Amino acid sequence: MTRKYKKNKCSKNCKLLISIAVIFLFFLIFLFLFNFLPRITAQDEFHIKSARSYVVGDGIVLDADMIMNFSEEVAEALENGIPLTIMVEVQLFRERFLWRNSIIKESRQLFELRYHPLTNIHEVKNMASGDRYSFNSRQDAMAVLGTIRGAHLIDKKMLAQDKQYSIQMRTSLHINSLPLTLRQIASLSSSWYLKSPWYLWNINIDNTLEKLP
Amino acid sequence: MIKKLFSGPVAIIILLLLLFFSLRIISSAVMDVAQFQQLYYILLAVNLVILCMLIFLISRKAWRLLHQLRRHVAGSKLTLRMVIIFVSLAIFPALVVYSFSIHFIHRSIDSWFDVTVESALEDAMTLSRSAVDEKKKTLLRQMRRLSDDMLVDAETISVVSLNEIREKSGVYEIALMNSKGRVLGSSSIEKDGIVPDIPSSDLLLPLRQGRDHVVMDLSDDSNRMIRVLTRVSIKGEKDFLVLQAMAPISERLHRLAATVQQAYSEYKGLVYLRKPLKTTFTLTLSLVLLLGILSAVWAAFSSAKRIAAPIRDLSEGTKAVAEGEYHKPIPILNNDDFGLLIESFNKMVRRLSRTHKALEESHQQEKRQKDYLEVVLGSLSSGIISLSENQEIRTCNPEVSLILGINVNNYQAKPLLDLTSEKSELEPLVNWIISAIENRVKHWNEEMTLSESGGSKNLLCRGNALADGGYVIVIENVTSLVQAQRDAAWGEVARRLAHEIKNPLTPIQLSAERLRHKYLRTMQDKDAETLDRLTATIINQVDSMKEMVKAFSEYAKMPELKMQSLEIESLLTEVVDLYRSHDKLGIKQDLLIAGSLVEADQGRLRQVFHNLIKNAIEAAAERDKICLKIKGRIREEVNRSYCVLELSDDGMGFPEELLNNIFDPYVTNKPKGTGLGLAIVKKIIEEHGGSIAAENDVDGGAKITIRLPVV
Repeated sequence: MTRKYKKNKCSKNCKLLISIAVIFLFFLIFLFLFNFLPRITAQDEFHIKSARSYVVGDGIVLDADMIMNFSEEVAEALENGIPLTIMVEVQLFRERFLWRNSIIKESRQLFELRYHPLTNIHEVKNMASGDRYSFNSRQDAMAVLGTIRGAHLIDKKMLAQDKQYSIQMRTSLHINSLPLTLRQIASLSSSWYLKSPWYLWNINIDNTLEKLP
Repeated sequence: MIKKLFSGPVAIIILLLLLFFSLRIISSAVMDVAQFQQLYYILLAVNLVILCMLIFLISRKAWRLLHQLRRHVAGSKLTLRMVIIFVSLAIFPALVVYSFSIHFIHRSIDSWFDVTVESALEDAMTLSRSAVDEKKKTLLRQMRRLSDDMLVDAETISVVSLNEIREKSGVYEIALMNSKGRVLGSSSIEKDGIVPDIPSSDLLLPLRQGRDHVVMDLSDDSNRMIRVLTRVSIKGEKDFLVLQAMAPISERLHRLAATVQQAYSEYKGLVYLRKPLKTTFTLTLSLVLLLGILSAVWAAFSSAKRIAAPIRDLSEGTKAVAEGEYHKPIPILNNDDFGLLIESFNKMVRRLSRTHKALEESHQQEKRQKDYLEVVLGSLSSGIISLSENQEIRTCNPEVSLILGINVNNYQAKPLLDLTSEKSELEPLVNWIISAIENRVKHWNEEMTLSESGGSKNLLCRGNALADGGYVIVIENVTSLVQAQRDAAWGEVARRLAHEIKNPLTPIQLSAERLRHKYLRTMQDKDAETLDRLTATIINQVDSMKEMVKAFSEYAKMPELKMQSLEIESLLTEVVDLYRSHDKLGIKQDLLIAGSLVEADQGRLRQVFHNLIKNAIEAAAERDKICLKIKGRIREEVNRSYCVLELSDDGMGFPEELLNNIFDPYVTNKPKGTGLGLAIVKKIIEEHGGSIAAENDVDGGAKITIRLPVV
């Protein structure tokens, strides 16, 4: 005798759908725990005070002033020799009506901040160029790190005259560059979730001056 | 496909492989952190997916089990018990291992750190820092003093003074810059006049804030120099100047300081990461434990289901057998004890099936025999009743109901005596049968007459005792046979009368007429009168005898019937209407038989009605007038409809002594009657398949009841 499970096709499909839905629900819960929970409880430690772009010669350059304050946990980790990486993201995109914006250029700059206990200096290293800068205090290092002057963004000829372009910028503590053991804790902690909101402004390439938001 | 992956051995193997993979990575992580970092997210994602799947699968299985328990499905309680046992067996060792592992990991991590080493490192760091700070401070003080002494006035400052400062301080290079970092002059130990090392703008930031600045770079790619930046205020200059001195560090000092700093940083980092590392390992191990326990629970569900499956199969098989399904053998999945049990069960079911089949065949055969017997009994002209030992009717054939005029089928499993409650006329027959049974007569044969409202019936009743104590009674209706025999006898009598008597009558009559004709004129008046009277008597009596013989002849030689469907009411009304004007007869007609057809010979049936009405008129011979009531009804009897006609008068009725034989030929109470009128009537009615009965009415007068089958 063959054991029969009298189920029709509909009920099988329903069960399959329910299975997928349950798994998806679990994923959402974990996604929420890993991403949204720290965001909700995060404080406004990182933010962009001001930013502007203007034309210099054939290129468009960028000035920005960013405020970056570390939470106690992050500062403690730095003082204990854990290098921290600050990421500055800049996106230049063309606005499109009823369509997704087209990103023309995207730039990510990583800066490593490290404390040397013997010489009592804070060293900032540009991860792209390898240039290093030393400071007697963390405040000095952060002040320099938070100031961008005349950073070349894109050549002017790359942009069309009749199009509308915008730039958005943000800065954050790069969690993935932390040691793995710390990364797990940092992923779930709001103290480690240091990320500024996007700072958005439009640019007009005809004007040499920036168009402030 | 997905369902196959979610269940069965494939899923278990996949799960175990994934778990092994996770554990392998965990073990690798202890030795190689870099490898762990690379696979961290993959491991996390895989584990989370497995966790979700397991939670879902277990929930589904638990829900199903709960549902089965509520419905009291066979094997569900056993499954629950086994799941509890399996889970208990799996969880407790796992928890013990888990707690020991956590403890071991914590102890292992803590063992990396030593208080003595930490203290030594701290001391080394303090010492190094003191040494470096001292060197930096000495250099700074020296540079400040020299700059204060020699760099006073802008006009007196020259390369010579810078050389002098360099030589006095013993540094490698001296450079004077304005506040923007532009070099105003420099002096180097190198004679080739190399361009001085210009500080970056970030190094000038403290000077702008009024602070002197000493920088010592201990990185591998540095130039092993201590950079001293001193703020110099000079008369006549609005802005300050910067004096930069580059003092070399010995390679050994540089190396030692770098080593101490690196070791200290790494150790501090490890101390700081100790807590997160413990947390990470605890979380990972907890995840593995959770996965292990969930896997064990799931495996427990699956195993319990497998073990309970034969029991469920057996239960379903038993249920099927109880419901009469013998053709569903249970598959033997394993050759274990359950396999043997199922095999035995299957054998039992096969045997039961064979027995059931044989029983069914036997039953079918019995049914066929019974049907055959019923057909045979149904086609018999004799009525058959079988009685049980306690005189209850077991079976009967349809004919017995026709013979007895009562539906005997309704009295099955009821005492025979109950037949009399519906039809009291059956009492003599029933009583006689009962007395025969009570007297334990094994075989009997009896002929009896049953008087009914429709006439008397001659029954031949035979009884035989059965082996089980019951009786079978055969009843035959021999009324027609008796009547036929009687009719034949009377026909023979009539024929003989006609032949033996009719022939001499004519010569007698002729002789008498001749005597009268020849001798009447020759005789004297007195003799002539006597002769006339005597011959007249002879002639009249001979006429009378001729009439009688003619009537007998007619009775004996009835012509063949010419049957046709005819409406009996119109025929009766037609005959009755002929007598309505008769002065001695009053007719009351009450007929509810309109439209009823009978199969009859019109002329003969008319003769029946004429005879009966004439009889009524003749009965009124001594009275002024007689009233004849004619009543017609349709009566439903056993399986047939009958037209029942009742003709009753208010005369003297039949003489009691003649009542039983009133329809026999030559039975009459009338002086001139032949006694054949009612005999002919009866014969005609019987030839039409009907019956006739004569009785005296309760209120007086004669009553004739005719029953004719309706078409």
